[in-house]
Amino acid sequence: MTDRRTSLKAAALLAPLVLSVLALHAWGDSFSGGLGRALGNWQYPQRDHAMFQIRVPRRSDDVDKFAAQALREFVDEAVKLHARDLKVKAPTQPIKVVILDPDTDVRRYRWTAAEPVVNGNEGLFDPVGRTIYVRMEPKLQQDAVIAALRQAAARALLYDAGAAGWSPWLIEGLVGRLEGAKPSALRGLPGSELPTLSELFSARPAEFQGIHASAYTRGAKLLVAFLQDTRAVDFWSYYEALREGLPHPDSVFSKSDALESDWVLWLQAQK
Amino acid sequence: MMPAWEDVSPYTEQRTRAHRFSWTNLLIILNLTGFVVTGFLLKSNPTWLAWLEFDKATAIEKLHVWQFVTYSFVQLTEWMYIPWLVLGIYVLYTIGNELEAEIGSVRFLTIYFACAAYGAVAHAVLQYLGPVIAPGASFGPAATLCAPVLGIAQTAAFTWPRRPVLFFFFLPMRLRTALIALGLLWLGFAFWLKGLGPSVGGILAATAIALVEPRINRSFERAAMRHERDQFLEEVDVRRRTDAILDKISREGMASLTRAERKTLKLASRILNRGKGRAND
Repeated sequence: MTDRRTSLKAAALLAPLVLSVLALHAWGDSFSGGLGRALGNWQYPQRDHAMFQIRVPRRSDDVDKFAAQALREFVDEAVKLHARDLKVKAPTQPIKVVILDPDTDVRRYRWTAAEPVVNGNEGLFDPVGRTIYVRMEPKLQQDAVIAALRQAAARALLYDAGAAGWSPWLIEGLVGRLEGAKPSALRGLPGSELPTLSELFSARPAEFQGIHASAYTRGAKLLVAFLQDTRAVDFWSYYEALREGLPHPDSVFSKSDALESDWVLWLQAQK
Repeated sequence: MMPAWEDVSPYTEQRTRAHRFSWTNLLIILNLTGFVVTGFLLKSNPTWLAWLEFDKATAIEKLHVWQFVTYSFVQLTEWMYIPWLVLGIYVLYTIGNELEAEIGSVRFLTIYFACAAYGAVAHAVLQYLGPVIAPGASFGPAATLCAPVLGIAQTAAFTWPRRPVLFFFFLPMRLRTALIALGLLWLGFAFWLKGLGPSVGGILAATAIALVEPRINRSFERAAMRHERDQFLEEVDVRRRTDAILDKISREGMASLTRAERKTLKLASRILNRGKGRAND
């Protein structure tokens, strides 16, 4: 009897311990993630606007409406202007949009893709989740949010056009083209010195998100504008080759000896 | 005037004898050694320390199961942890030694390590859910003796709720009251010192053991009583039937017994021998 009693006590002591360890081992992360996502869904209810599924903080009234309007206008304009040259089309699959308030810690809701979105003037498109992330400033500034939304929507359109494997400089440059950025305005923007051409051609995606992001982004936008201005035929054949999935003619621009000097002269002309 | 712990304890003399071995004193030595070793490892080899601390990323996800126990011997050396180490050692030296003498070494060690392990599980739960509930807070690895110490103190409070004790070495109060005050104080500081999970886990484990163990004992005692009662009733029934059979034998002889009656006699013989065996025991 005593042996059975000791065995039962040992089992009663050890079983919950072993079971809880195994349960945490098997489902701890997914449970924590599920809880976070459920909290996120509650804190950021989804409001559908045609192709855009917009999540805004629970108590923000019209943010989703002006965001949806801005996105619709941008997509219509981009498709109208660039359907022929860049081959962009209106999205056929829904795009999720999350407009974060300034205090939201995205790790809490497991929106890990949104971690790089720190400032209120940049938009991020996560191709895996087909989600646009934008962060509002403490005091809502519609213009800044709209600019960030346009930037992220441009990335979404380019992704749908096949940008997944393109060079980062080209994607960022085409985002500028879709946004309608003017070279003279970009040239005049304050910020750190522009990277060199070879740095831009060899830049990795991380360089467009790090501390030099603004210089690299500005440089990429200027570079695409420069190539379209001075080497339009080469540029469009390069773009077509990329879209067709042909081997990347990466060296098509760097072969040209005069490229660097043309670039400097072109930049000076944009003042 | 309420007497102090040492004045009323029946084990004081035994406990203070230098030559008497107690597992509690060994645990105290291990904790103090852990304090010194942690100091060395923090400076020379923090990677080794990471193998001993409890972190869900290794203990749960990579099943480094030793961390469920080893973390309780890792004592951080920053100034704000030292008063709690001293208090923990004092609680173990006084209450721990008393409890070990009262409940036995095996049960004492079982409670000590069970509280440490359940404290680790509670810390793991906090590490999983903490970033969702409080994203700004830090939920790093656990390295503290608070789970087993609070578990032992909780068990002592269940065992002797009205025992007098000197709270913080000078304030006389009942053990249960002192434990509630200590628990609240400890939990408050544990939140600040990242020991919340182990503290809660240790207290809950000790409470569960104190509540569940008597129920298991009672259920076994009830089962034993039922068994004895059934045996008694069976014995009475067999005796009654045996008397009738013996009457028949005296009237008509052995040859007149049916097969069922012979079986009853055999059963009676076995039961009566069992009764004799019990009497000899």
